[in-house]
Amino acid sequence: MVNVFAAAAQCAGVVRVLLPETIIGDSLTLHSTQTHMQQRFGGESSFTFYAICPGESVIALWHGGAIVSRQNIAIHANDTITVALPLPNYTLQPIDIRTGLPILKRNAVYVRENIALLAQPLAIQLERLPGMSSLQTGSRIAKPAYFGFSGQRLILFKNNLRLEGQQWGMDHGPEINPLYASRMELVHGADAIALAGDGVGGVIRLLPPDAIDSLIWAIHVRQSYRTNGHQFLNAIDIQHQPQRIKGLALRLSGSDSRAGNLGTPTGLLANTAFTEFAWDGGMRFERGRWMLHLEHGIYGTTIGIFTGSHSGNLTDLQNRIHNNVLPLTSFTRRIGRPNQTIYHEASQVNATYRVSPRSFIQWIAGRQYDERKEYDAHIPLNDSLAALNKPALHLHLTDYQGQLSWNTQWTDVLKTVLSIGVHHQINTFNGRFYVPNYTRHYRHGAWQMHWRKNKHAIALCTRIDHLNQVVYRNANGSVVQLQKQYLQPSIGLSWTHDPTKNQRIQLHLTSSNRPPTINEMYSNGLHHGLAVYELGNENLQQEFAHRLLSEYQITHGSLRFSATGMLQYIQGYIYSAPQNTPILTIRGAFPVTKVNQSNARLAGLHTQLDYLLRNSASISVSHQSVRTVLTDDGSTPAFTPSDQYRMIIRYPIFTTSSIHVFMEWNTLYTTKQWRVSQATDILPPPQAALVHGVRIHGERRHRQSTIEFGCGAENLFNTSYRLYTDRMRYYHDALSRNIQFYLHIPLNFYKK
Amino acid sequence: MLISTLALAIFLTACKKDENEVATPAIEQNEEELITSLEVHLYRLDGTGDTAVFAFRDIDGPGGADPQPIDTIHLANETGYGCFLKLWNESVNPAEDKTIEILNESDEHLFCFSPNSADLSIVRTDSDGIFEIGLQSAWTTGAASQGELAIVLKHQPGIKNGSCDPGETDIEVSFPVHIE
Repeated sequence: MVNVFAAAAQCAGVVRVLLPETIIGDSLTLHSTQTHMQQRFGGESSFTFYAICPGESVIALWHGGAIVSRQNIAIHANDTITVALPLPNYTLQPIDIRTGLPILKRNAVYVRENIALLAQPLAIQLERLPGMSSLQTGSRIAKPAYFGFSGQRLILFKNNLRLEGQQWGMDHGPEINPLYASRMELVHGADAIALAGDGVGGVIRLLPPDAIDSLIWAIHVRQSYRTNGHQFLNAIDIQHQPQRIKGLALRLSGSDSRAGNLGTPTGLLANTAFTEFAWDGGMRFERGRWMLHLEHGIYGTTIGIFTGSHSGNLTDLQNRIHNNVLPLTSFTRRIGRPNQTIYHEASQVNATYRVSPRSFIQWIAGRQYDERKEYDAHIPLNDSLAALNKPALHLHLTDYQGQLSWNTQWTDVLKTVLSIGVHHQINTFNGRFYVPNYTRHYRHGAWQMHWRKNKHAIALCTRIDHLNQVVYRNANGSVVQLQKQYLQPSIGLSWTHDPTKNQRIQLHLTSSNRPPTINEMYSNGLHHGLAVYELGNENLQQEFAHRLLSEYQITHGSLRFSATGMLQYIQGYIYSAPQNTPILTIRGAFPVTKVNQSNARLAGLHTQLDYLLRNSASISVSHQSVRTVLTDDGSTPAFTPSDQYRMIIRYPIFTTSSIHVFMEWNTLYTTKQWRVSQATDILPPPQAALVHGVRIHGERRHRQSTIEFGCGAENLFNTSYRLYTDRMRYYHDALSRNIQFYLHIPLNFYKK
Repeated sequence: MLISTLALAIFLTACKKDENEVATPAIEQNEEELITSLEVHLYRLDGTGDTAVFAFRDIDGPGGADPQPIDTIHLANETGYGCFLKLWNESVNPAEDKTIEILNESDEHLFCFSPNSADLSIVRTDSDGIFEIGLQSAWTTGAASQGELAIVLKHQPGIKNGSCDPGETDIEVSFPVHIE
């Protein structure tokens, strides 16, 4: 419960409250001289109070019948201010178990909690969310997957900008720096439809930190060192709010990470070094009824591709698999061939004009540019060609996006958003054919409604997208244009119900369409990493997906149980299937995979039980499983994640009023994937794997900042294992023991 | 204000652009450097008869149209032959001779010959200075028989040791062989 006590006239102020991360539960009530009340559902991490009267106020967070956090504010007429409630004391001190475990926000990852994972790719960081796993194509290439959905079925947003690099297929991760975000959210139901009509697997949104009015400078330095590959990561995040320019907030963040050859329990992997850098800048300016937010970011990486995974033909591949011999190597940071170089650039503008205290118009525009270069293991035979050092594959993707929306809080319980948008995408290529030149032009309109009262909250979104796609191809010396158009109606309904203070039920129903991606339709060529000839299918129709996603949480004293279940039926599920006849080439025979469609049923379940012990130790056990069936022939599509069982034990080692140190033991058991249809893969699934990890994490509170430090070990016992969803399992084991040291130093300077 | 102006300037000017024209797509290539055809040139070591040419041709490279039917190599029994191989890119006009490029990088390439069922022995007769190459070879037939001959070009940059084990396969073609 949050209370704001205010007094006086001219009540046009706006107070945005950033809530302590992960804490949700009790409804929020605003008390003012007008006895204005609002309630909060859905686990938002911020809440905005409008029409606040000038004067001194106190904001307090109530939990379990007591104030756990409070903040004094002073608001003037027409002010818009943002305040952050400090973290509740029980992050540093044992929770009084009489208040019990809180209902948790289960669809977000916070960088603050994620410090131990900060050197990992985005997909690995997201794995802690219910239903999430990752599809990997190398030690540094990972795609997030939600109950098996990935790529263009799981849409990524960088704040308000939709990321589009996934159009290029499976063998690369999202082109984004996870350190950009302070929070990564998995969005479902009506809210997901509002963001993307074709996100049949959901939407992931990366959000930057909010500017906090009481801070002049906030500087965060994060460093990490990992022994495997001798990986260093240095990151800095600077936020500044000049006192002389009221309403202005600036942010600059950057990171640099590099590693040498990575190791498995049996040896170092040749050519697996990588470098990665990212810079993001942002500016937010609020004055009167206006708010303007600008962001610009770049991200670049060069990743060595394991030499042993690049094979000439099927014979080579089978030799690699069955001989099981790693190319010998020694440690080096040099990145040779084959490798891929990725550059990503994203700019976005968000302008808001407040028409009235309860209504505002928002304009969002963005540009994105992605460049991808792939250098094959071979250099050209011709010396003059070789001297040019051109990539074998060179892709460019440019996106322009725009959206206009009208947000209205009609009453205390009803809010609507009406939006229209356009999105123009251009793809070109040089070098070897992979994805043809094309343009895609999207238009959409959406209407969204949020209603919340007492113990219920309902969100509804209807949306329609229109896609006009033109593919340009060379045919016998002339350019041929292939045009396709798709109409994509979609609808989402979400219902949140808190039957008691200790329970939460959420249901999300969606129906949506996803048009086939360009690579699903037009890919045509050899895949060196798998020695497979991949054929697209120009006749694909769009997928029509119906989903029911439910979440349930209940707490009882020191116990908390949560379950997330998903049922989905997709008409025209697009998948890649092996063909009976191999293709004969001058390089020998290659197996062929072709993109097909079938109706499919998908189901996923994640359950978790948390138990808080008296001495503030805790134990958490969870289970996750996915089942998929192609109903046309009863087979299972490839790369469906195996079942997983996880246990996390956390035990406090040392706790005072300012220092808190705990130890965490993490055990993950991944079962063998038994549900693999015949002839869908070139190698049977690997055996089950039991992997352990440990870390010691410390927090030292100094004034209003908390320094974090720690060390940990992944794959503690140096277990040799392979994962079904890692395509590198054909060639080598998963990475060996990795000991990590990390440090986070925040420097906060507050207004006097 | 200076900072915000600077930030805005960076925002507006720092964009990288795609210089390609979307409506003029690049010529689609299956490989950056295509080899479409392998020719086996055989002549009798006793000097009788003409040179015979047997070929594998896939003019548009992997995918697309099927390769032309592979020629069957007809050989006389108990006879010695000289052989040289020619590689072509026939997807362009005029066709490019790729043999010389293999020869220029002979220290990275090795042709391997694997007869199966046919009574045939093959010895490479050329060298990169240390190891054999296989662009030229001497063939000796035995009794009348039928089988296959796999000709494999291995790419062995920095790892060539005279054996066919290391490296990746650049070419692998199996010719039917009739020894009559």
